[in-house]
Parts: sequence; structure tokens; C-alpha cells
Amino acid sequence: MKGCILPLLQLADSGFPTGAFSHSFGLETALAEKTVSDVYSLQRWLEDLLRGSFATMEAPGVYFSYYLVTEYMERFSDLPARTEFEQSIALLDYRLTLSKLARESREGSTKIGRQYLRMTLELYPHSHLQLYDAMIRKGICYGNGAIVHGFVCAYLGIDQKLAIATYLYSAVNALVQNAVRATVIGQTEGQKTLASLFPALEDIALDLVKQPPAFFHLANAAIFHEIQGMRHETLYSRLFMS
Amino acid sequence: MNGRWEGAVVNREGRTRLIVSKQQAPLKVAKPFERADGGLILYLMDASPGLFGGDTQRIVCSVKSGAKLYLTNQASAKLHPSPSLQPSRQMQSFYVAQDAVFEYMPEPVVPFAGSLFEGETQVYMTSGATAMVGEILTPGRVGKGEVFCFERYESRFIVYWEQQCVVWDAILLEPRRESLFVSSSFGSFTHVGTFYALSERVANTHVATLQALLNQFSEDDVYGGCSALSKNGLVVRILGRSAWRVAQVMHACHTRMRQLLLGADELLIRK
Repeated sequence: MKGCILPLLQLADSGFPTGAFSHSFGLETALAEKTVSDVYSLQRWLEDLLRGSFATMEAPGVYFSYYLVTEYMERFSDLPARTEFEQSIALLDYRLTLSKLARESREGSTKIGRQYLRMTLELYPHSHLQLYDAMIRKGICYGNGAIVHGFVCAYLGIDQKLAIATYLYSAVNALVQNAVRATVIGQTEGQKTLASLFPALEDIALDLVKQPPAFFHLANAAIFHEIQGMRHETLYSRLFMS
Repeated sequence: MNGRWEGAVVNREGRTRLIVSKQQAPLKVAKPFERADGGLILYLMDASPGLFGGDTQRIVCSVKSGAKLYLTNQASAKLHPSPSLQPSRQMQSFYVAQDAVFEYMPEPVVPFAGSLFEGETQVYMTSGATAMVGEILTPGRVGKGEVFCFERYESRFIVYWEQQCVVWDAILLEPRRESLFVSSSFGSFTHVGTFYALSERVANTHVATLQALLNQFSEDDVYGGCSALSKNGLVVRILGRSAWRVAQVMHACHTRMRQLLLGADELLIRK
């Protein structure tokens, strides 16, 4: 099964029950405020979010999680090595979580991360995700989907670049599906929008693997999207939780 | 140049006193002004044209139990070009003790064309402490036509409550690397302001109050949001097209939080 693509298809499937379908991460505000009103503005909104936030937060999250699991996997029985590993994961977890200043986006990300962890643990009970699960239960970590994805892809022997690209794909696909559900675009336009973002997903994943950032160097630039996430709290009518 | 200021204020019978003030040029502090409520106003002054590549500015301030300090600076922080590719740095650490009130509202940061900057602000909060901190970033010397011409601006804002990290806000802007930078990061706006109110007494009603306040300002030239932090505080993020307008909205948020958290009036600072 090592390196096989099928488990990855399952994890990246929009039907995989992470609860992502309940969160718009500010997109619903953009729709309500008419910043996004058609397929073109949606594509632009998604591209901006990809480059301004996903490329510099979630994607490095997968990269570092994958790297740490690969690096320490054989040494989990060695207590000092395991402690070092857990400290690094905790640092990554709280930076990925706390950097989301919009409360609903932060809580949504944690909910999705925990649900993704629960499902993945059911499928792969030996994937070392128990360590992350225990850290969340102890309150050391919040729970983050990018970290879970890095863990499970490292365990499954999936190529690192592919691991990053599929995580971005799932995140963007969830938003596209939500735009379809919000009836701003149709099914066909949704699929075309998703396909149009593939070059950007590939670029981000390739750049990360070729030129990895400094250790845990995460940052955000998508300020406009972040404010939309904050303003979602006071939207008059809401389909989504964030 | 490595400017440095290290200070400490204490509460002496209801009046805040500056008991430690170590300064290293070009950074220095002006004579403190006492407020009617016993608190202190301090102005930091940079006796240089600004920060050049390789320069480091370090600000450390300790607000001891029961003291009230409003810290600001005299003029905007000018970040000069870094032809050596060495960033200029600003590191700030603030320690706020029990029942202390710390307010820090510096003038906007202006990154010139070709500048590289790395900044980090750490705020260490103790149970019972209150802090309100605001910062404004401009896109450059707008009047000179320098809009997003800087190389790199990286800033982190970190808050610890009793050793636990509760805020980790990292912004990285590299406008020259990204042709569609303005729309992707700031929408159609150019200036960004961030305001933090940190206190165990910050409640959801305060967030709702500021959200309503921001909606009053929601016009074409300003766009803002407010949200609760993971613990003990709230954040306001404002986008605008001029520093004065962002500062105006931030001042309104600051004033409202002074009323709600401290029962205090608007504080007008002369500059």
C-alpha cells in the first residue's frame, strides 16, 4: 500500500466527512457584500486566498508536519526524541491556529482538524496520529487539518509535493462546493473554477519542496479575507458557520 | 545603529513613576507627562532619520503592578532602503503586571522603496493586567508615489498570558514578488491597522460593540472587522486608503475600549 494513490484520493474526496462543507472562511461575507458575485470574482477570491494565506500557512503546515513525522518516525520509542517531536508539533499547531484572527475561522479550522483526525485514525490506527490525538486531549494542541494530512501522508509514503497539493486541493474544493451550494455559480462552472486553480496549487507545492521556508516560518498576507472572516459574525443571514 | 530603550514604571500612591529608563542612541525618551488620572504619558524619540538596513531597535518596557502607562512615539518609523539586503529590525517586549494598564499607540510605519524589515512585538500579560496596543502600516511614501515598493515587510505580534501563547499574528508582505499583491492582500485598500485590547474582562459584548462601531465607519474608504481572541482579548483589523483615516477609526475603537474596560474618557495625545 506504500505510496499508493488510492488512500490519497479517499482523503482528498469532497465527501470525506471533515465538516468542511459547513465553513466558508469569509466567502459568505464576500458573497453578501458582493465582492464575489460571479465565476470570475470567485476565481480571483480563491486565488488571492491561496497565495496570501494557504501558500504561507496551510501548505508549510503540511510540509513541516510531514517532515517531522518522517524525521522522527523511527525514534518514537526514544523519549527525548519523542518529546522534541511533540514540542515541534505543538509549536506548529498553535501557530497555525492562533494566526487565524477571525474567531469563526479559527474555531472552524480546529473543528475540521479534529474531525479529520478522528476519521483518519479510524482508517489508519497505526499512523502515529495517536500522538497528536493525545496532545489535543491534554490541551497542548488545538487540532489542525494540515498537520493531520502531513502525518498520514508521511505514514502512507505519499510524495511530499503531492501531499501538499492534495491538501490545498481539498481546502479549495470545499470552498468551491460551498459557492455552488450558495448558488453563486453552477456545477459546471464550479468544476471549471477548480481546474483553473490547478497550476497555482502545483506551483505552491513545488516551490515549497524546492525552496523550503525557514523552520516554522509561517505568515499571513490575506488581510482582506481575514476581515471578511471577522465580519461573518454579524451577517444577517448565514448558511455557513464561518 | 542599535538604538535601545529599556524602561520600567511603578505605581507610587496612585501616581505612575518612571523608575528605570536606560537609553542608547539614537533612541531616547522625552520627559514624562503626568496625566490627571495619575497615569504617565511617555514619548519615544528616534534621533536618526529612521531605520537603515542592518539597524536594530530594541524597546523593552515593564509596567509594574497598578501603574498606568501610555507609550507612543514622536513621529512615524521610517524604514529606509536596504541595498545590503540586510533587514532593519525592531524588537519590542512589554511586561504588564497585575492591575497595570499599558497603552501603546505608535505612529504609522512607513516602509520606503527597497526596504527590508523584520519586527517582533511580544506582550507578556499577568492576571489582572490590561493592555491596548495599536499599529498602522502604510504602503510607503504615498505622496512621493511610493506605494508598495518595499522589498519585504515581516511583522509578528505575540501575546502570552501567564506563559501561555494566545496570539501569534505573523504578517509577511513581499509586494514586489507578487504582481497582483494589492488585490490579493488588501482588496483595493493600501493601509492596514491592527488594534488589540487584552484583558480578562474582555467579553463578547465588547466584540459586538466594536463590530457595530466599525459598521458605522464602513464606507468606501475603510473596511474593518473585530473578533474575539482565543483567550482574554479582542482584535480589530482595519483596511483603509490613508493613515489618518485608519488612525481615526482605531482611535474610536481605542476610546470605546477605554470606556468599557477602564471607565476612562478619551485620551487625546498632543503631538
